[in-house]
Amino acid sequence: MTLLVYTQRSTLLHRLHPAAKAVWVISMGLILSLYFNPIPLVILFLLNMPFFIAGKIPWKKWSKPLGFVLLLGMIGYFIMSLWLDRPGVFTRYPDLVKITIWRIAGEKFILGPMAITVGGLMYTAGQTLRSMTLVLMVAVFVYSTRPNDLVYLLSKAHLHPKLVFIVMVAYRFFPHIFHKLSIVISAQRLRGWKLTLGNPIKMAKQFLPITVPVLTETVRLADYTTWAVESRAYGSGHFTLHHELKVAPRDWLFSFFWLTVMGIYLWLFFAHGIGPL
Amino acid sequence: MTIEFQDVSFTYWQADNPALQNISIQIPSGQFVVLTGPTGAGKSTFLQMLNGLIPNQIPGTLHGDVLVNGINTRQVSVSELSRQVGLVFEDPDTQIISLTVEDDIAFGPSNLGLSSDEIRTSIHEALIKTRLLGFENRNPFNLSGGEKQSLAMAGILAMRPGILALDEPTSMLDPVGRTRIISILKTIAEETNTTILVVEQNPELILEMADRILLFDNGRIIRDGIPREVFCDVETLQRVGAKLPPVVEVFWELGKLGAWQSALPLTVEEAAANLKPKLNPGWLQPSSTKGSIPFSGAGIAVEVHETEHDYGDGVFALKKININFQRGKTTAIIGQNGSGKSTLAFHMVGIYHPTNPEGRVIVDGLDVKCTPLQELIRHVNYVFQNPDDQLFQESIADEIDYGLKNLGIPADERKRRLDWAVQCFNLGDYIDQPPKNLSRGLRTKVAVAAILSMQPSVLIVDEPTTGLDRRESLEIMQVLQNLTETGTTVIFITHEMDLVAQFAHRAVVMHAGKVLMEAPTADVFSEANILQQASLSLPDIHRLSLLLGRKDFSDLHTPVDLAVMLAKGLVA
Repeated sequence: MTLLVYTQRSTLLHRLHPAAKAVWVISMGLILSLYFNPIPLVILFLLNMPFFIAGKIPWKKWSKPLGFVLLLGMIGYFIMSLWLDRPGVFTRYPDLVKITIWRIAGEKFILGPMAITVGGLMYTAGQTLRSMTLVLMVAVFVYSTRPNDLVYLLSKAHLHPKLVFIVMVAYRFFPHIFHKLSIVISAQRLRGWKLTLGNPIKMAKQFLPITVPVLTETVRLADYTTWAVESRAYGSGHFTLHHELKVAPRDWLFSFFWLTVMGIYLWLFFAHGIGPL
Repeated sequence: MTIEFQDVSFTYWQADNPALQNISIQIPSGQFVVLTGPTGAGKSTFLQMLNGLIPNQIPGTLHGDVLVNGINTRQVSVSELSRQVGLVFEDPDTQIISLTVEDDIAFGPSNLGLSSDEIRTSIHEALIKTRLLGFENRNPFNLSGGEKQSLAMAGILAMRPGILALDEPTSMLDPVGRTRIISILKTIAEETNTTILVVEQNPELILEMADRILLFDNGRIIRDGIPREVFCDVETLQRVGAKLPPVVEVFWELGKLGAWQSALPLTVEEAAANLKPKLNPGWLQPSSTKGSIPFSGAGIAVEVHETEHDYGDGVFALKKININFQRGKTTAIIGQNGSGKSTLAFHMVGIYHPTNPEGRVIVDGLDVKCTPLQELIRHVNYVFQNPDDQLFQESIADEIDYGLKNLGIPADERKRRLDWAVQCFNLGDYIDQPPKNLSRGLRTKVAVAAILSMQPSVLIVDEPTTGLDRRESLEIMQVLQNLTETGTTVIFITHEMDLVAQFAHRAVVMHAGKVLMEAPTADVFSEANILQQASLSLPDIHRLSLLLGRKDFSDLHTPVDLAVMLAKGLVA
């Protein structure tokens, strides 16, 4: 699991104040929640690229999980798009649904009617871009933000200590749980476990040998971590840092840039209706 | 910083029996106290009371009071008590919060709201004490087991508590990690007035430092005294199933043979000094029956050829491994954490395959790479270190039956195998109980029984004794050894060198992805350079034998063996 792990490096992204990166994440999150049209999403993706490059993110290590997200997204959204062959789906561009490239349909066809349409392809591209951007953004944020800085930031935002704790534990133990999952799968495969297709209830039951040990480990980890952090005075007062966390001009510039991008995208969405399909 | 337990009893929520019963004890400032006894005796519960985890976090019924420096632990939170008591748990992975060493050490002082200068000073001091200076920017995930536990200690020490409590800090570590932690504890004990309490199943590791030993059994402290008093009460220790220092065991056996009447020494050095002037040189005569077993090519169960494994980051976990495992024998794979032991085992059971084209692993004549896993597991199988990685059923019977059903074995044969596996591990009294409610020792037995019932001809067991007490460890190892009599090949991975001596016909020494040596165990123990290169140490009985001039270990497996040899020398 190479994604979603903080890595100590000295890059622009690492040097940015976590609050500036939070502005970026929130701005992007807002845009992504509104936009489905792939064209502005491509532009948004390209706007992020210089920061990813300057942040020297480990493309080689990340290519496999990101490629998996991309492929899974494309396949999944493409399959979903096959059913978007009816009027009223695309409110902004209703004509898109009429441009049918290929149709698999029949009155008695149980899964039909299905069709590959330009609208469906645009939907696939838009959703894939949204997923990719979201995963990449979260991965980059985690990759470049020290957990202690995050705790400090969330404490400053007056979040309840329990909520901060949940974020912190998720941040730290997400990779551990993935590792445990792979061990449990191996352990059960050696006992003859295998996944067979069939009745959905039977399929769900097949996952019990995997989910029970993983959940047990998650609960154990949660218990011990709670005890461990309590034993280290967590929640006893003000959280301080051993290094200075100053807001530099680059942080203002970075925040201003993303707030501007967000402003432009919101203006295009509300004033010109760009965003939905 | 004093500790006082005033008639303390505690019963965990929904438990039938109390974990601690009527404990009344005082521990003055600066004492080094070792808590020992079988698993489930109440040692960890005792430590968790010191910093208020019980009753503030862990539910149950508490009677009596625990006072730490006069503060009643019922009346303050765990966070507040953390300034007084630092608690280090067994598993370092559950305590490391941050993703750099420096940040993790800073976590406690940061929570205390110290200034950045104070935090930096605390970090620096903790780094020095735990020998982690230079590791500040390292990711804890990439540290060795010993370094991780050092980091867990550093995180606590940075908060400068007056009491340091450690719950089996060495149980998950290899010999190098253990030496590191013991050495750190020694420094803290010598240079500060910190009160130190350590739960330890292998008391010989810290006997030299201990001022006081508390022996626990069934929630009570049944012995409280200086090490010599407690560890020379051999009958009590044996009755409760606690581990004896091996040297004490040797002299106890010598006493039974009528060859020793004086006080029992505690350490190897003390024993050697006592014995040297009294030993007849005749005891050095080589044994008439050499224990070495000639290796026969006809009896090969597993062949590993030119096998490499690259995890994808350019670091080779295995480097051109060539090794054979003899059929029907018990072989121990030993080496530091990260030396490639588990990776090698994963290749034998088909979880991993060689990453180089010429690499091949043959088990029972089957090429692992070309054999479907469903077929392979009838010939070779593997028990993971943590039994909870595989247990999920609502009863032991279902747990054992699960693998058999998956193999498509008929019902009557499944029943026969279930009965056999249950009998092997004496699980009959628990057959209908959910495994999750059992002790770690019993869960380990269930995990091994579940794989054993599948009757693979090669059984690989990864650190089967982690977290178990002496009695449980010996029970499991005895079952594994008995299997070889029916022709099963047993391969076990371990850090417990005394178990290697006692149970392994052969040993494989691994270091940095390479096999340094594969030979009969006695021959491996005779190669000091190899052991040193792999950062392994000899069991205490072998060290004592060596100090007394005997280098032939071919018939030395247990303290009893050494006692019998020494008795001849002493009587003569």
